[in-house]
Amino acid sequence: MGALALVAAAIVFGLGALGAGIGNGLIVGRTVEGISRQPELRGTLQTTMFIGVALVEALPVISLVLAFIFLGQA
Amino acid sequence: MDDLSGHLRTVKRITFFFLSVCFIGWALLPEYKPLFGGLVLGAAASLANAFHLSWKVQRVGALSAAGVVKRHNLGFLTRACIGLLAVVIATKYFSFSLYATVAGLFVAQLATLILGIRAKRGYPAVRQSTDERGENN
Repeated sequence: MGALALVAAAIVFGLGALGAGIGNGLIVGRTVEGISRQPELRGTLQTTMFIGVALVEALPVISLVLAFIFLGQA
Repeated sequence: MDDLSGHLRTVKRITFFFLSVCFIGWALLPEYKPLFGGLVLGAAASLANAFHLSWKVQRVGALSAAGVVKRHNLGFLTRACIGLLAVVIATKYFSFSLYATVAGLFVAQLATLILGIRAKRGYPAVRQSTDERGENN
């Protein structure tokens, strides 16, 4: 049980961080590109980025909490 | 007006409303105190996360608009640690419900999602006064 809990914690946080990293990279990259092309749309693009990043980062926060729960049971 | 500031103000208003509902539930239903306590703690951490993310997004936007070539991050580790701190405080010190705390961590995100969908459908994210709409001119 102990070793399996450690593996579960590693998998849940690793995959969560991987997905969030890819998602955040896409969102921030496109937003920075858009702001650089059209600085007058900065307000709209920032709001869209805020919504996207907030939703993407929900998953790794859940996975972090789950990982620590698994570690506590190891 | 800056779109993000108005959006964040609405998120703050929704989260404070949710917090007030949770406090009323805490006061009126003492047997559900662990549930409402966890929701309050999680929602407070979620609001702090939303403010931190907004500050970071504005910083990234300002640097991009100015054309500054400089490394900057969005500070995910800080927000993850705030969420984890809320969970640890809820479970170790106050014996609040763990699941309620984790659910409370997504109140601001849920409000953000709903406001984003409303804004895409054409509803304004921020209610403007008649002066701001130019109806009194």
